[in-house]
Amino acid sequence: MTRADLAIEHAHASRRARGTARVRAIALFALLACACDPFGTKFDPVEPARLYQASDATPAPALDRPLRMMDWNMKFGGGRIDFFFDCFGDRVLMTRSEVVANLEGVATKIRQVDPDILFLQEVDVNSKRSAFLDQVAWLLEHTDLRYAAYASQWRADYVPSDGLGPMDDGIAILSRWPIDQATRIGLPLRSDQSAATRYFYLRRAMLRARVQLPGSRDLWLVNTHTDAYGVDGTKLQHIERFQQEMNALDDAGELVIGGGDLNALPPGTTKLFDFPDSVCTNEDFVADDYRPEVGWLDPLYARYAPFVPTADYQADNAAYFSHSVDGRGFWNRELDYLFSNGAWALGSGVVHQDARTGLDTMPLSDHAPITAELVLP
Amino acid sequence: MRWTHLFALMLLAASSLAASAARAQAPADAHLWSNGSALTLPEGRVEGGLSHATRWGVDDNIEVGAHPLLELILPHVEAKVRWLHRGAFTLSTWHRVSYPTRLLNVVSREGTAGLLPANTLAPIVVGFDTSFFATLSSPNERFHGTLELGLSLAPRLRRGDSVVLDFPFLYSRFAAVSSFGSTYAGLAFTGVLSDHFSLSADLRFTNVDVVPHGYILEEGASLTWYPTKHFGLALGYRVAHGRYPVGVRTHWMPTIDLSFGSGG
Repeated sequence: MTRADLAIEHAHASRRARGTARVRAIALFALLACACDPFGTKFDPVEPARLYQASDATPAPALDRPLRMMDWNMKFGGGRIDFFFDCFGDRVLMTRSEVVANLEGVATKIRQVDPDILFLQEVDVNSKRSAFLDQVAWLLEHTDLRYAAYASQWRADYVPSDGLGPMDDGIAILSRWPIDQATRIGLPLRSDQSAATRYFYLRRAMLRARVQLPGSRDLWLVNTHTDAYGVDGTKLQHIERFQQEMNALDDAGELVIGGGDLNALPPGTTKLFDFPDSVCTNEDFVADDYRPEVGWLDPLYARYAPFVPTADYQADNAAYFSHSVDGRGFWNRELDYLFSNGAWALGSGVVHQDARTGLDTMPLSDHAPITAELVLP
Repeated sequence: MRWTHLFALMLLAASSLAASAARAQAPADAHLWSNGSALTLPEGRVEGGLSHATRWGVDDNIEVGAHPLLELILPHVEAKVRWLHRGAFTLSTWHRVSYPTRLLNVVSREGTAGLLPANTLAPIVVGFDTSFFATLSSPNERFHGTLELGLSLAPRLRRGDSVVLDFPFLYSRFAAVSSFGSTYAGLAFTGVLSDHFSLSADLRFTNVDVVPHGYILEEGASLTWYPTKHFGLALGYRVAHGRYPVGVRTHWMPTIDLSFGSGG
């Protein structure tokens, strides 16, 4: 064997050793990665969303009217049960009959509005607190919407706190037409929590989906539910990432509608703190002072059309309030939004606060649904 | 006292015991240790550990035991009776009476470790567990294979809220509390590898009637090192796979156990 052969053999042996070491390192990493997520709470930064369709799914025909959009934080079918985190009660778990009764109310309102596309936040698909009912599947069978995409925001085989147990809660987009692309895009985690708390806590996300509208161009949709309780600026990061996602689609020349529960007040809001329904003293659940957040939504309002024009909102804040922690009071702040780079039909933006829009929504969730109609190009 | 403090204290005590045992230069003998089979402790022998009950051999056919720390949240007492020991074959039964209501109250709490809602009205429950063990030992008694069949009942003396402890690894152990009764069957193998090492592996199927076709299949294995005849350190893992109310799930965890024993 020549010196060159020896050198080649040595190089091969070194490569084999490095290869073996690499395999061992990968195996060790896989083992550690597995061990570090024993309750399955983590997600890839970007991953496919879960797609649904109703048992009798047939795409709706082309529209000869504006596209009707609806957005609703439906509080996991919890209605106005006094949950522990609202600080009005001590309930943690619902019975199946309670969940179904609350969902019947939600579905009745959805059927009354008759939207073409619906954004949902706080929808449970397999959580102990809502009797393990898949609410996305249930709503597809009880409304005229036939297709859905779901992205989890809070998933754990077990949350060992407050009796919550297994949890899978998230955001969803329901549509009359098939959703041919749907992606879960993770948002930054809160940095003001201990590692253990953060492991079991919400991992908020955006749900980006594409619907091919018959007889029209593709429509891109971005649904999100931003942070509510962080004191580290996480909410602002979420709002900025939400706008970046919309900007990317807008820059690509796509028609886009974005919305959800942004947990922030619109420009021109006069009451920014000291809301009458804020009774929590536990700082984990306090979201009562929006004074440091003034201006956070200005860039969104500057670039996109909000479902309610700023002038209309500033003329009468209260007409567009969509959230109240206490179901015995009335809506006292606006947290829910729809934005688009298209044009909303004039005067179509509505917050469904009470029976004047067909059904009293106060008993159905701690958020009122909002709707608006987009004029299709 | 916080649980972390309690655990640290326990670890310290076990370490001290191990250190003193090591100082005594007692020769190791893995044969001395009980092994989860139908075999009972010899008369006068005492064994205990972090994750298993402290047991005492009343005579060669009866042992009684309880876990001193678990006793604080799950009052219980257990006994194993050897009915037959002929050649390589041993038959025994194991019995435990417990009061799970205390545990249900402890884990019904707000915040961390709240496995049940704080407003849970725990039922008053008495747990009865009975297992039948049949063990076949190798001629040199180094290896033992055991078949276990068991029944757990948890009658309610006072009605309370429906409670389902569906936390992984607790779910099958408290299946009877969640559903009145459960049955289980298992296989176990133990082998003494040398004076210092033994190996054990087990597999147990538990029927959990909380959901239709509910079950848990749990498997575990561990390697125990006996530096002296009074002390053992075990490392291993456990895997539980089954149908929970949330669906079919698999969980695993590493295990570590410290054992001490004397007499016999």
